[in-house]
Amino acid sequence: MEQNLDFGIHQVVTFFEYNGQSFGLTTTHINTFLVMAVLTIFGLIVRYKLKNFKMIPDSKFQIIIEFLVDTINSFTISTMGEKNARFSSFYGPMFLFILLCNLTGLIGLRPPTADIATTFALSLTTFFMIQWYGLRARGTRYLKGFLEPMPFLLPLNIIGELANPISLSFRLFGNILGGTIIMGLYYAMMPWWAQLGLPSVLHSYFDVFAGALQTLIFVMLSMTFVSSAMED
Amino acid sequence: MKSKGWISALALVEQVGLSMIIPIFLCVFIGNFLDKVTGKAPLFLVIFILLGVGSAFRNLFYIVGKEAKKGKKNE
Repeated sequence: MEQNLDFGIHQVVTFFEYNGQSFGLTTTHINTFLVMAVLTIFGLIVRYKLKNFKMIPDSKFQIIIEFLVDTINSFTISTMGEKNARFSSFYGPMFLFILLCNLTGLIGLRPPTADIATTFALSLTTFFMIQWYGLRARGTRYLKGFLEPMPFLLPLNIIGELANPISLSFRLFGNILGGTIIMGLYYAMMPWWAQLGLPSVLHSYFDVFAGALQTLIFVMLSMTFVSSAMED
Repeated sequence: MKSKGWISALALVEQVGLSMIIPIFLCVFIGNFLDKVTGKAPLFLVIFILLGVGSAFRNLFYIVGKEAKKGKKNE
């Protein structure tokens, strides 16, 4: 049974070894490339079909695409405000990417978001966006915010700011890794008859429900951090 | 987005917990690292733990203050 217990990251291809450390492609890379390929193909199909779209939709495909774009736009506006609606073109794809990554567990792949490298990279993007848009929108007043309410609190404010990307990445990583470990344990320890039908309930909670919820929370908090950095 | 209410409440609860734990852990790691580099244990560990606890409280006040402001706006 121990042989079946598998929920770790594996190195699929090794490029070279240096100082006892091997560099190559892991399951995280392969699965991320798969998700990227699916999203790219989806984007190309939408782009190809775009010229057939009509003012009043007459195909299911156009209705679905319009619903998707409309939902993402209204979500961005309700979280970041009307003046920051332009961010929907960044957060929409980010939402779809994280959601698809979380859902890869459904087809038996290891979710890329169960790797801290993926989630930390995503949260670092948010961290740099907070600093960049905060500086752009408020200039030196943004930097002065680190000295408030009193200048001697500067180290506390800096540590608090650095904690944001870490908390964002650990939340998503922990939730998805937890689901992956529980599913791995279930498949390794349960007899064959318990692996028929029943895992679908667990998958629908850990992969679909928790996956979608954590995606939404990640994107919503990212949006809140960026928009509050831009506010006076 | 009618369902956003409970999702943002859940996010807030998670955020409060994590934003208190993470600065403390971060500071423990930094303090430990500086102690090893300088060989002055436990000087930096103590300083950074105090900074981490302070930063955790700062985060708590910041998050709750922001939510209170939002609540007043909605009233």
